[in-house]
Amino acid sequence: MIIKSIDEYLNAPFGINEFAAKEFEKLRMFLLDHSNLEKIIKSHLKQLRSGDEHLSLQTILNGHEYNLDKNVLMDELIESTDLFSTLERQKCSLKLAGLQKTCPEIEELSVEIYKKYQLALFSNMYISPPGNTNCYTYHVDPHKVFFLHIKGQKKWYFPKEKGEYVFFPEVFDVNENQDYIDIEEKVISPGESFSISKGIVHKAEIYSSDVTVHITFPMAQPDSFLLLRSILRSVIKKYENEHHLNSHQLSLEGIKLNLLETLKTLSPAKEQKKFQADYMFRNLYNFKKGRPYGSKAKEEYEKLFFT
Amino acid sequence: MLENLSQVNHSINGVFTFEEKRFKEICEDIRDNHLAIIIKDLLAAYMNKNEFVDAFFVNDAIELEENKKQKMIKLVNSTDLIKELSKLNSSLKLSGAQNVFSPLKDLFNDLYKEHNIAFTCNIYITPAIKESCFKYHADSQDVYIMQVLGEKTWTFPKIDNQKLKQSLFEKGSTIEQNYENLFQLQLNELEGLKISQGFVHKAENLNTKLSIHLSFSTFPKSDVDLINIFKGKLLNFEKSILKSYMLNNTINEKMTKELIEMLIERVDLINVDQETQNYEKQHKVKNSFIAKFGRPYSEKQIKIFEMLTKVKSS
Repeated sequence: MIIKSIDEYLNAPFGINEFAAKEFEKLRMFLLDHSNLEKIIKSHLKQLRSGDEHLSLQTILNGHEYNLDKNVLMDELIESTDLFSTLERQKCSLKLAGLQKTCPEIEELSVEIYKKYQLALFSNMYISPPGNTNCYTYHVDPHKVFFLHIKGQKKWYFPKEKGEYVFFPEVFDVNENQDYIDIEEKVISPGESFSISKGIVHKAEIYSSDVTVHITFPMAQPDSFLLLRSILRSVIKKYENEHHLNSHQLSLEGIKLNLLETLKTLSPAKEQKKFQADYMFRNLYNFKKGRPYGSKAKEEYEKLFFT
Repeated sequence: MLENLSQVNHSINGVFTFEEKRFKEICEDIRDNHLAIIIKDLLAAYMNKNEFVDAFFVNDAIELEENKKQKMIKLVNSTDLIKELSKLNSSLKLSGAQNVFSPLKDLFNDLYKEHNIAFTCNIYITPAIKESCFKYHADSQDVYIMQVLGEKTWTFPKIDNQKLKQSLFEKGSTIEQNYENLFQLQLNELEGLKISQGFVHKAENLNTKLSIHLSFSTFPKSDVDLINIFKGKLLNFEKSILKSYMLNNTINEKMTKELIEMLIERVDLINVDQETQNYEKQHKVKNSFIAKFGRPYSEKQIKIFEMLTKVKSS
């Protein structure tokens, strides 16, 4: 299926689809113009270097953080007169998170989407130098996401079981779930764009001899799985408030009875409203500020949404 | 007041002053003869990547990463460590002291044999006035504290005149920080305190002298673990059901009601005896791992620990 609008994207069935939403076309042309790429990367790094806690630069190798002095790396990249040669020399992949706050053209799309759907659009850039410097092993993303491939080529792998894409509801560790037999492969070149449903297992490997770049656009759309999670949180919170906790009188039977009692007293109307309000505020925060990456921003976010 | 570990074992949860003779003796010996060398050995072990010790500088629950290594090297090389520690602009938390000081390890081995409880030891070093390690928080361990140098003020929020605030499920910065009704107590040298898991607290050095306390942590069975067994079961739906929920964007009262009813059904189906047996087994594994090695701090050892101690649902 070809996704032709954000509306279609938000209601797409499970799977991997070509992404050609009309709202994205202008931005696609802008991002594919390589003369804009250097400016996007440098202005992101400059803003991050100035201490913006809602942006990040992550250095990743095969699913693990690659340890290096990020300030030194950022300065080197910002000052570089030949950015792509400098990127080519790196020993790991780079992830620039929060582009919707540092690239005005991406921000424009995020504003359009927020105004219409009250959903925050995120944007991350993945840069991989040639060689064995892949970013992730098999994983699932916590959000529904669409991609645009910009530079070089990458081979994407989508494992299948009984003819369907392998699905995992939770994010899993890099050491888990790495062996698959039936795998669909796709070589993706600049200009190609597609969307992946939440929960589909995938990985991307470098497939060219120069630097590869792609940009992702995740969106935290509420669904009934998240509603289920929210109800569970309510049950636990209510349990904590109503029952005296005493580790010396433990009994699973007692906890079972208490949990049943707590579940039965939940009001569906209240739970639904609470969930929707929570997501409305999260999306508003994420739209205005972005995702929290620095310790102070994370603390502020936790205070707002978890207390 | 609790006089020894046997009493603690059978006590109810809470906050108590505590005077186990063997803890007092070893703390006195550490204070008089070994404090500087233990701190230096712990820092050196941490820098040599010992996977069962940990060290970090911290202020109000925020870890200070800047110049961490240089600061540690300076402490290891100092000729007057206590003076150097007094000049720190943050607290220093060191974990796994039993792995660098064998008398402590011997004591823990004895306690494990006697009570089947694994202990680990942390050292909290806080320079003068206002420099506090952590804000209000709750631990999942039972912690026995002994002041070895200077003094420290412990504060516990109260929910009414009788009860102290408990929070087993929310930890760290997610815990509320503003309380009006407080219970406070000051620990002087060689005075002890037991704080059961889940009791909200913070510790501050309100004096002008350096404050050092040792904490002896144990890992009791916990309501949180048991609730997590249920949580695991509740989320353990068939993938096809979860997939359909992830694709369903209709959030309305009918859907919410359906989900609550499904959860009730799931809880009802849980085999309590089987789950209790599994949990007992895993808790034993957890205790013996900690008794043997200490708490794991490296990514690799944490992974091994989690694999060994994961409660498998039947």
